[in-house]
Amino acid sequence: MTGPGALQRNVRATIWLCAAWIGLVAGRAPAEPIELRVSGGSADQAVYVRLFRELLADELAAENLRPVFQPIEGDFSAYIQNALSAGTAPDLFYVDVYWANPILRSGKILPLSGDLAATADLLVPTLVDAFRYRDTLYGLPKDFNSMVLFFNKYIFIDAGVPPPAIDDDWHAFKAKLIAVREALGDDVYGTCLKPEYIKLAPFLLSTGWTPFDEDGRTVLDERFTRAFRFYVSLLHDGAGVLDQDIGQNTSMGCLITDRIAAVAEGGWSLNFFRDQAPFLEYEVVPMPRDPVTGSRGNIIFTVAWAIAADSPRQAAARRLMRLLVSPEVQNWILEEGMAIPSRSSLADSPYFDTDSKEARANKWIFEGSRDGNVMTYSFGEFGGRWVDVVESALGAALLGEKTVEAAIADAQLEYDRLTSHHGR
Amino acid sequence: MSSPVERAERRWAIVLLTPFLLTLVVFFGFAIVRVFYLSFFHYDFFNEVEWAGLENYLSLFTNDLFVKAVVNTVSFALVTTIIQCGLALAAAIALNNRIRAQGLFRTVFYLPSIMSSAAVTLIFLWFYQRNGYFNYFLSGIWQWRMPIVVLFTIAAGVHIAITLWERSRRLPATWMEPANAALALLAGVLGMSLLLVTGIVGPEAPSRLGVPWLTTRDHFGPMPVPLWAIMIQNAFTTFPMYMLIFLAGLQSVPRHLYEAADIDGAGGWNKFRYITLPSLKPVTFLVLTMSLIGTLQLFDQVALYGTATPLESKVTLAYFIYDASIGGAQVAEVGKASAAAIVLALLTLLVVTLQRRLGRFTA
Repeated sequence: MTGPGALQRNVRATIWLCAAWIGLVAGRAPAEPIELRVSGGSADQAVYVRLFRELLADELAAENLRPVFQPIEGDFSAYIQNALSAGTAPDLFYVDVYWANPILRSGKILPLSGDLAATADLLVPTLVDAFRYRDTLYGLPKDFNSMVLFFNKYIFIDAGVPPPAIDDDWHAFKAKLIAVREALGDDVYGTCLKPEYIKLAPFLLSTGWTPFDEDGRTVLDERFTRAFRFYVSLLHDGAGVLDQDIGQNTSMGCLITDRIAAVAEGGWSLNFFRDQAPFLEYEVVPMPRDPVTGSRGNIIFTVAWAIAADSPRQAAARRLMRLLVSPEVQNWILEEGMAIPSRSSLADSPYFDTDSKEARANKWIFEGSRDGNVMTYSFGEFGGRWVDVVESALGAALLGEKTVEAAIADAQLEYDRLTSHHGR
Repeated sequence: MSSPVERAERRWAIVLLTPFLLTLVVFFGFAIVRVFYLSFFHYDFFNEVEWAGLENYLSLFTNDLFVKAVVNTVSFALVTTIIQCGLALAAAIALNNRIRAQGLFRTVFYLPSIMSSAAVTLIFLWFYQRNGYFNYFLSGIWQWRMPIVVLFTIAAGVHIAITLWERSRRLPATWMEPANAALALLAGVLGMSLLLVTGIVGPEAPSRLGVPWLTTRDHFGPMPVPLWAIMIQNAFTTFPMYMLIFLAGLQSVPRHLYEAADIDGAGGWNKFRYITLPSLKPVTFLVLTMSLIGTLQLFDQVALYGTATPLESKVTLAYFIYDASIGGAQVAEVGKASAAAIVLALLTLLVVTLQRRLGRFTA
């Protein structure tokens, strides 16, 4: 016989059994993956979607991570500054060395320590140092680019002029450009010129000049003047033409017109040539040496991964960052020909010995990071304001609006004004 | 004491205005107060605000870029306003006449103002290249300058001769008589063709004008050359809107005034001077105000030219504010940008007030 007490006991037992079953099932079910917001330039969306779905699928599953790449159209630096300031930044995002300074000093980026700091020791030191602020590391560089000399093989063959060589100095390089023009007439030029610091920098830095002296001032000394005068002379002595004068906005665009023999450009040109001029027969050599110092100079462009200090998923973001700079991922990026990864050990990658023009180009781009006076494309807190001054002087000298001396004198005044009130 | 109907009307007015007023308070009122507050502080988006007193304002006047921005902005506003209002009025008068395909012309003239600013800028970037169409067009005019001068000299001579001859016969000939002008132009074309055929006058040898419209730091008159280039683009895209406003104004001028003037024997210029212009006064005030405010706040076209143009050759006050506040590669100077924004607001207020006073004085 069952009374109301027994009924109550049965109901209670049933509830307990159900709860235990739910607990058991829930405990055995895999935990929901941690979704991470990853942000970068829109051009890289396809690469990262592929990377997450193909190469890293197993590792991400093992780490229980689900990264979502959120591409940003337009000015990424403005976006990330606003997002960090408002506390809405993605968990993991790009920091370009050019605009890194205001971000690194913002206090809104997670300082990297432990295993991530140890990983930094395996990367090219020049790149890593660019993401330190007051001796604290804030970002792990993922890849980089340097400046090299691309030349059109057939223009030199047609002109009967030897192509640019690895050991050319400025004068040998310029003589070859003038010889091409003299041989092929008015419609072909030696090189394309632009009033941009990145084009001038390899020449400036090869003299041993640096943008800031020990006191943080910019001094446009004899070395600067020599390199500046040489660059301007390329136009005025008939070795080159302004890109706008042949209807182009970039040196890459100049080279594919078949009217320009050689241009100084960064590794990003490889993708452009692949898309726009797949049959262009180009080769690459390093930038010419300064005839006085015998050294080369180069400028490095690099982008790092950084973690938002406000991110509630910092541990997961650290795990993802580790995966993104792992040897597997970096090898994949290198072999796909997308960029030059940041690991020092990749200098010995068999990829560089591959018989292809892109592999040869990438080899010199990699070498550019450690040959001669190499500096990253960054100017402390002055950022673009510093670049504006030198580009303004270069533009005025190239267009003949000022003499080289007057342009440099005016630029020195500007730099004195810019750097006198600030400490770097 | 107000009646219940008046009270109900007032209540409904408040209800209907509330959404707009809320938007105004949140997006304008709050922003203005915040900008005014920040103009007295140092702020970079990340660190706490730090009292600066008047330092942000004082530093502006020792900042070369800011001074250039003020000069560029005021020059641009005055030059562009005069040109685009003149163009708009001329186009409106032309399209107000009964001409064939009037609707088509009105649509074609209006098209530039509905085009996207980014698309137009891209087209103008090509247009202004050193070997672009603009230099090509100017080179053509330069090459043919002698025949062009001859054509207009002959036309002017013939026009003067016809007018004087008609007046000597006591005919009511005016200097602006369209029929005489058309006849004089035809005579000019014929005369120039004759001189071309006989080889007395001819084009110069072809030469290429290589004006670096966007990359130079040179000035022409009060503005850097690139800002003139931007002015041409701005006038091209903005004048159709003002043309439409003038057209609406023209259509509201009573016809009987022109009929009375016709009876009195008034010529085209007198009708324009004494009927059209006074009748358009309120519309002209509106157009001038809109144009001055729009040009004083010029930003989008300057920003879209990007690195194609040196900063000092294109900087305007609105762009200076953007450049200082959106730090990009350098630390943002929100306090300085806020002070510049207040200066821009005061400048706009001053210019519009002056224009208003001047309008009242000449009334």
